[in-house]
Amino acid sequence: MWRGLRGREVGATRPRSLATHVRADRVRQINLSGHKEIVSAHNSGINSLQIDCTEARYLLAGAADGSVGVYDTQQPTFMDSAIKVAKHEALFTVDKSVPQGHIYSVTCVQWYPVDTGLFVTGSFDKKINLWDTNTHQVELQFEMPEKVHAIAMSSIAATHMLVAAGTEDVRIRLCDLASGACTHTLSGHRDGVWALQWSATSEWVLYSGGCDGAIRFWDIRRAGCFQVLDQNRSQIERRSNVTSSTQRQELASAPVGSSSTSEMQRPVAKRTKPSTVSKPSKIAKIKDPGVRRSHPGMTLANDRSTAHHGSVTALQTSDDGLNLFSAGTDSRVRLWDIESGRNTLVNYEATKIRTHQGTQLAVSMDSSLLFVPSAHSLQTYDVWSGRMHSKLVGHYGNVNCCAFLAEDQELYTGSSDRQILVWSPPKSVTVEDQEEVPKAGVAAVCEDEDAWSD
Amino acid sequence: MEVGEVSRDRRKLTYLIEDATVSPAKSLDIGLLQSIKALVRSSDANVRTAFDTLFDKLQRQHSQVRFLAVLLIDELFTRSKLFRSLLVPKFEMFMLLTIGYRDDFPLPKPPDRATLLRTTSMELVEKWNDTFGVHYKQVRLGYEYLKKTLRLQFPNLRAATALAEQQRQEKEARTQALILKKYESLCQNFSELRTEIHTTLDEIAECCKILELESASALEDNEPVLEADLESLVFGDDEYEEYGDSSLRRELHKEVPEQVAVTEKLKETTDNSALFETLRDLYKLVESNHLRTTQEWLSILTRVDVSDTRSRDAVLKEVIDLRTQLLGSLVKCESLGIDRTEKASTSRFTVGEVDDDIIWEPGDAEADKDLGEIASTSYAFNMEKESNNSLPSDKELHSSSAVTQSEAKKERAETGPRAELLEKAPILPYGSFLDSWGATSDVPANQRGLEMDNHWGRFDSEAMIPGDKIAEMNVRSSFYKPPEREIVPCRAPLKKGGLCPRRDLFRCPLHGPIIPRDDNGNPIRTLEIDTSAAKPADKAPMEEFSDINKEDFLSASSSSKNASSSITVADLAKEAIANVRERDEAEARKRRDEKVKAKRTQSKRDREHNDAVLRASALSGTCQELFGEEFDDVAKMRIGKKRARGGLTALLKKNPTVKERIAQRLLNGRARENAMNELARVEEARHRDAAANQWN
Repeated sequence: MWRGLRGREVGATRPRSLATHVRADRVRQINLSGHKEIVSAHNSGINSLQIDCTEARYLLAGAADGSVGVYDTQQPTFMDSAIKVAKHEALFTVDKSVPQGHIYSVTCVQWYPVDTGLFVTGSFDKKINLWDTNTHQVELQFEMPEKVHAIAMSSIAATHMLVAAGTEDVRIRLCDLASGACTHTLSGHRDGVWALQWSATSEWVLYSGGCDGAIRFWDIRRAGCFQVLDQNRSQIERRSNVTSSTQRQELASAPVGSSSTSEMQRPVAKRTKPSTVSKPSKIAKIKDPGVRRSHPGMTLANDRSTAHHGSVTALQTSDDGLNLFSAGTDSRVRLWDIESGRNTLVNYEATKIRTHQGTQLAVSMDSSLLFVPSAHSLQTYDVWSGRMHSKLVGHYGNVNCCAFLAEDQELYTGSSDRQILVWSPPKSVTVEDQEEVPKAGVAAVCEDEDAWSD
Repeated sequence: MEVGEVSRDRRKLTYLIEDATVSPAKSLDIGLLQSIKALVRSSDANVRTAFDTLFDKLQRQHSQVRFLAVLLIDELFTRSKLFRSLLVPKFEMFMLLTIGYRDDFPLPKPPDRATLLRTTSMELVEKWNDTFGVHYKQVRLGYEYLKKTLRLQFPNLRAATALAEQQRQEKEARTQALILKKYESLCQNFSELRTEIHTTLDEIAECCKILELESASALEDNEPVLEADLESLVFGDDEYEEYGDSSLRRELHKEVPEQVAVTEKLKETTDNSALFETLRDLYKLVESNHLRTTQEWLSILTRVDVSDTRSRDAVLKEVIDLRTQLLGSLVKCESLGIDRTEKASTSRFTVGEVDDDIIWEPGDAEADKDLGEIASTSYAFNMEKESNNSLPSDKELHSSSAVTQSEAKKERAETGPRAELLEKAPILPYGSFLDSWGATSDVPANQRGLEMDNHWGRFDSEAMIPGDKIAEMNVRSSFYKPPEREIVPCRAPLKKGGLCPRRDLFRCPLHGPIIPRDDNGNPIRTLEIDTSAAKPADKAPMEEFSDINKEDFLSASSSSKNASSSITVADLAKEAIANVRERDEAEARKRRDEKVKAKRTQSKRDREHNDAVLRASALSGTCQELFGEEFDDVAKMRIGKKRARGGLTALLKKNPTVKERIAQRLLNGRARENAMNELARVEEARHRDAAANQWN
């Protein structure tokens, strides 16, 4: 590390590379946090977690008892001096006692992307609520025809405030927060929709995964879906890793907009791997809202294709928006190339996904590690090789959701055992030295040493 | 060398753990545990091996194995850091296997051990959480999960003990405050109470003195001491204190104290009686009041916790003195014949009453006895009447009573009409039909105790089955079974010795018609008895069949024609017997002797066999528990299987700490005890063997 700092100082390495390197190192050491704990305020399993996009500080958790809690991940509520753990209690919770609150299990939560003043929750009571964070009251309520399984808001949307809602109904509904009404209905799935994800590159593009095993891409300005992912259409090589990590950082930090990002990416993809893309111009047209063309996904053969042999439980785009991860109840995690819509055939080994509702995947900030909830544990995979990096064990129930806090390289997981666990890299040496002082006062607990009396 | 040692250690450890987890006991074998610990301590590789083996054991489908494994895991978990770090990642699995909190993974079979396993492991998890929860978050999470999410009831030992301790302290503080208050009041009132007691004591002393003086001047009486008669005691009582054998007298006195007291009061002069009266009152006062108060003071003074110990000690001393004085005076009083049993009686009895009692009581007893007799006879009479009444009213009823009481008949002999009835009663097999035997009442038909919807039509819940219908339904049919008859063996003497075992009805194809014979196979001439016994034998009940002698057999299995044929054979045999009897008898004797001899040798062999069996079983069953502990586990390993040896003992000998030596000595003592028990058991078994013929 010191060498790295030195290199940065003298200009031998790029300024960002050291930080990236350190971050990547820390992410790889992630394990059950010994110094941070979230005190779950919920009486049943946690179904959904999200960290807000603006400050990357507040954790929103939805639980199966219909309660929603907000936790501060930075400022601990109190220190448990006996075990030297910072406890984070809920800043507030809302549950069925609040007027119009959810009475059944909350399946999905979503911060309003622009600020933390609002959040949206969807529940099995067929309601989608928009909450005011400061008053803890329901501001707006959407009635859905069926149980709500997934909601999503686009973090890059500049021109709309749409909440996409996937329910047990086959149609995806887009609810406009501005007008308080349902504006769109996207039909195409043959079963309920459990996973929704907005594109990271275009504010108009929505990805959805359903119980019928299909993953569909929608352009909300047009009728019907424009692509259905087929697990059998595959490409061996990945194409998104062409940019080095530093370049990607620069890309990510560039002003985010649909046109600019696609404009920047297209030439890169073209230049480096022209052979893998069959019709680059055509794909570019899909991205380009201006061009009208017939949807290849609408042909009958493609319309029937599936991405998983079971339900699709989770969708997650990579940080750069070029790849899409999907998890299904066939215990498979697949990595898709968004532009070509092909399966990259990365084999994520030994996952065990047996849920009856949508889950969440998480990706580390440089898209190097993928976190997959798998039964009672959370497994981390190397994104590109698919090799399991570690297995995070600590929950005593099914892990339902996870949220990655990129700033601190911390991971939060929610499970059916009603715990929210914090996974973090081990504390650095300097911090531990500071901690030594209060340690002397505690004599009741045993030292963690060998104690062979005989 | 290292590789070999490691593999050997591993093998040994595996064996040891295997050994430790297969016993049916509810705790670990101490010797084994010691050696396992020593072995595990020696290297990290061994810790890993131990962990792997133990986790394997945990997955066995047997709660006892799991239980012992858990105990062993606890031993290692509390000691080795490496072991902890190995177990903690698998903590969920561990809890699943030991606590069985999930329905799809229940604990395996022996249910009592399963509950034991669960409670033990919950205790352990709690303990570990208390001690290591800080360092191992998994343990803490697991504990919290069990406690808060699954809401399992933990024993919560730490809190419980703390609570108990607190309660005890509170209680102590309360009692201390109370005692202190009492002590203060005692200090205030002590002088008054002391003077009071002193006056009482003085009075008693006065009384006693006067009485002694009186008795010294009184006459002597030479009544025989042992006479327990009331009158004699009355007369002999006045001067008993002068006698050498006063102790004996005193004993007697105690036996009938009230009469003595009464008679004293009666017979004494008036001033004497008054003295006694006061003495009695004083005695009562001392016993009921003063003694108790002093006792109380004593307890207060000994328990009170005050800063000023000197004053307390002074008071305590005085109280003790007072108490001894009081006790002394009491002894004095008792020696004068005043006893605590007196208290109740003296006030009640007067002369006339005593006489009345004496007169009345025997009469009363007699009356009671008479009454009892009357009651019992009338009861018997009633019973008889009942059975008589029931006889004509219902013919089933009387048979039912006969049936139910037929068992009772064996216990107590019955007489009268009841016995006759019993004799007539049919013997029936037991069955549920006996429940409603002789019942004449109607029975509700549709009341089964269940609310049922009737799909087949209207449901009449008030439908009744009339009593006679029930009786009709209870009529039982039975089939005639011919009385069993035993077919007698032929019993003609055979050439090779013994009697002919053939069983034919009338005629043995080898030896001719079957006739009664004696033990040697000689025919018995039983002409006269035959004819007389021919008739009734047919009627003889089954039970008597075994007792029937040979004459009866013949007649039972024959007609008169057979009897006549047997007569002719008997005549012929008569002459033959006369000739050969002596020779036969000699032979028979010889044979008998041989038989006895053979029997003796057989029994001797039996006994030897039994001895051998016993010895073998004693050796094989107990040598391990006898000597295993002494020789330590190496010896055990040698006895059990061929296993790697050495190393272990070396390890143990390397550092024989004080603790180890003490443990060794303790173990030796235990082994000796075991051996003694075992010897006693063998002795007992041998005794049993001597009594029984065959015992295996």
